[in-house]
Amino acid sequence: MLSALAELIVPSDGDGPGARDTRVAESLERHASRSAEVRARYARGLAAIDLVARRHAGSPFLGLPPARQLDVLGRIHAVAERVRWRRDASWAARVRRRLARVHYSVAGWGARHGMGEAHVFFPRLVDDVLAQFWTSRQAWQWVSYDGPPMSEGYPDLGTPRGA
Amino acid sequence: MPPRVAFRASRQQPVGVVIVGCGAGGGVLAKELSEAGLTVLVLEAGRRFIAGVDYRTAEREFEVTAPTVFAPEPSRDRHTCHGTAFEVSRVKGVGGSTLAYLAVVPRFHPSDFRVRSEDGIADDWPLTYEELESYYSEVEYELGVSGPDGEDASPFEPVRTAPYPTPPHEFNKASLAIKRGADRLGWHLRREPLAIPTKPWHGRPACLRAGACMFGCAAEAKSSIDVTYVPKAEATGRVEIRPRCVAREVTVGDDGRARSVVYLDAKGQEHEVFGRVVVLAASAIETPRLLVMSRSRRFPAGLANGSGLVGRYFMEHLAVVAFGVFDERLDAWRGTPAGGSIQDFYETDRPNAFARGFTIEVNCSRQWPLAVARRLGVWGASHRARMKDVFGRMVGLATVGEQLPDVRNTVELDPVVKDSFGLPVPRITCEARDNDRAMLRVIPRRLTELLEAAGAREIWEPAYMPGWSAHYLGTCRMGRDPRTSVVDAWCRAHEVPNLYVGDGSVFVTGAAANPALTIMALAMRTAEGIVRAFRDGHA
Ligand SMILES: Cc1cc2nc3c(=O)[nH]c(=O)nc-3n(C[C@H](O)[C@H](O)[C@H](O)COP(=O)(O)OP(=O)(O)OC[C@H]3O[C@@H](n4cnc5c(N)ncnc54)[C@H](O)[C@@H]3O)c2cc1C
Ligand code: SF4
Repeated sequence: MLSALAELIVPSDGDGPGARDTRVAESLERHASRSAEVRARYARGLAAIDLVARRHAGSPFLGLPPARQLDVLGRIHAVAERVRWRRDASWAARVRRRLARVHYSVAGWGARHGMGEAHVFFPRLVDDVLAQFWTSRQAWQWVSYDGPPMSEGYPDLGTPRGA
Repeated sequence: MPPRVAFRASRQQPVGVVIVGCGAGGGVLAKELSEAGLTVLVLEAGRRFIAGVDYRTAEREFEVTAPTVFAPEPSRDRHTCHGTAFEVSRVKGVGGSTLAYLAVVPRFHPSDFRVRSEDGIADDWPLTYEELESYYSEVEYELGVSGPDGEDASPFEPVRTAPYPTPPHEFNKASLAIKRGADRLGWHLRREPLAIPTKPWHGRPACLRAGACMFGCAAEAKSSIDVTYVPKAEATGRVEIRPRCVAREVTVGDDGRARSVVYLDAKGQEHEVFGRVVVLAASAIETPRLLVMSRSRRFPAGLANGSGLVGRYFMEHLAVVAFGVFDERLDAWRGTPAGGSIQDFYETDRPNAFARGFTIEVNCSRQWPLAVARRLGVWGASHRARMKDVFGRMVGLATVGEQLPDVRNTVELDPVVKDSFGLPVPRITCEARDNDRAMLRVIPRRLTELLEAAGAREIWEPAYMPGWSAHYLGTCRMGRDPRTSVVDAWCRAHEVPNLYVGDGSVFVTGAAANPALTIMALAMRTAEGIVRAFRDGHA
């Protein structure tokens, strides 16, 4: 399931590398296996996404065609955006956010909303996938980035290092 | 470089000076006081970082790993906000926030010290630019500041008696694109003074133009306090720095003088150290917190807080951030993160609906692949296409806008939330008030105008980011009148004759310039005052 999700977040196509080419899912599994806490978070998050797929699309996530999988993720993303942290730290705003989070989390809150942890997990998954992908040499090569700041620095400001 | 510790403060014998905090202010004070012959004990909440070992900017995953090095300890370094959410960005460690600073070190302008006289608002400082000028020069030479002189100098540069120690940095392609716009508009984009020498300086190498200053400079090219003032302080053999020691109270004797500092070590064990003089240099957030935590029968509202102004008049700089995307490749990550500044809007301009002004800075930081990918906020099929379209073609602008001091902007003790030591965390109230709001209406227009003139094909809507400046000031303001200020013109507490403040809290106004150089110059001057007090038998 992780590799399917990673591939939806950064798809591989004829145009350039994607999550599959850069082995993002394997890296994420390694990353998750290092700590029990992360492993548990991933397990809960993936289960929650699967539950949303069953509720909204009537099938386990992996049983859906890619377009329907994207629909499910789009729905989760929309809710995540709605409860996203905003700059307002007033009590009213905090209470509103908390209520929204509870509202969308509670499984069984009418089959239309219950997200479990999916809307909390998904933005973090996106970030983890991007972190793995954009720290890979294939991705760097594709956008012509010349590599980490140190230890060489950039002797020439106008041309790529070593060019 | 391993620390040289020849001097160890004994438990019973008072040292000459106890300094709390080893950042921009504390580090300068430690060097100046010890070189003048005084013994100094520095308590520093954070750890010591070793440039070649701790910084992670050479790793493939540096965008993930390097930011963790200076990350706050979640349970120790907490704060809460009242009203608008305020992001706090600072570093605890030997070197303080200079470990992460971008090393932009302009001087304040003469008018900054006379805001009430010139504009009829806020207050004047109890000293002038001319009185601080020689200290500015001395600090610049200690740091090896690079900057433009002669024809390349900014026309707004205040009078200086010494040239910049090292020549200016080159512009990278991103800055040149913005310069094109500034030239068209008749604005003056110039290389700003940077505490990043362009040639080897005091045994350190010239800058490698790696652009990773905010994660610590692994080459030790950036002149942060840990590689400039701290080694010189320790070389005197009269300074002991105790890392991972958090001061929690300054005690006073029956004579009303500061007597000792109580602190907690890394294991949470309590200790007490005695000094003839105590200097607080823990930053504009932590110094007022420590003073208010140091309540006693004699000082029920907190130490040196008879005026009720400790923690008040908190300021930061109004940071509005904008991005432009260009057709051509800019590769903004090459070179120093700071890419030049424009001071055409620095001073009060009568037709404006606000007093004072702002500096526009070219900000080349965080243009690496993951940073840009995160900023885009899209995933799925469009993500990679969008990355291909904008990556390497983006540059940022950020402002340093003068937020006026307002008594309602404060650092207080949170009545409920505690840190891992059980101490009340700082609670920050920082709202943009009338003058600030009027300025915030104009800044986005100027940024957009500049990006348009530079030929950006896409302009991201400028956003005001409370807290983002990382320049935290005020809270123990200087002044002549004990009723309206906390410390005097030599940064000595009005009410406690052997207590000084040596950090950004003493600022009366914030100016429209990055504050580190002024904090250091003032700290140097304060050290001179302390040495004089010892000599005259007042310490
Ligand atoms: C990412 C970043 C970029 C920046 N860029 C620039 C720039 O380009 N130009 C510029 O002028 N400024 C810049 N700044 C701001 C500048 O670094 C600060 O304004 C300056 O360092 C503040 O000096 P200070 O002495 O007041 O506090 P600090 O330098 O923050 O030092 C305070 C020290 O006190 C210690 N401390 C706090 N509480 C206690 C306690 N209770 N007991 C013991 N120790 C304690 C802290 O651990 C810290 O080390 C930047 C800051 C950041 C974070
Ligand atoms: S730009 Fe220069 S000073 Fe900054 S991290 Fe790179 S080498 Fe160090």
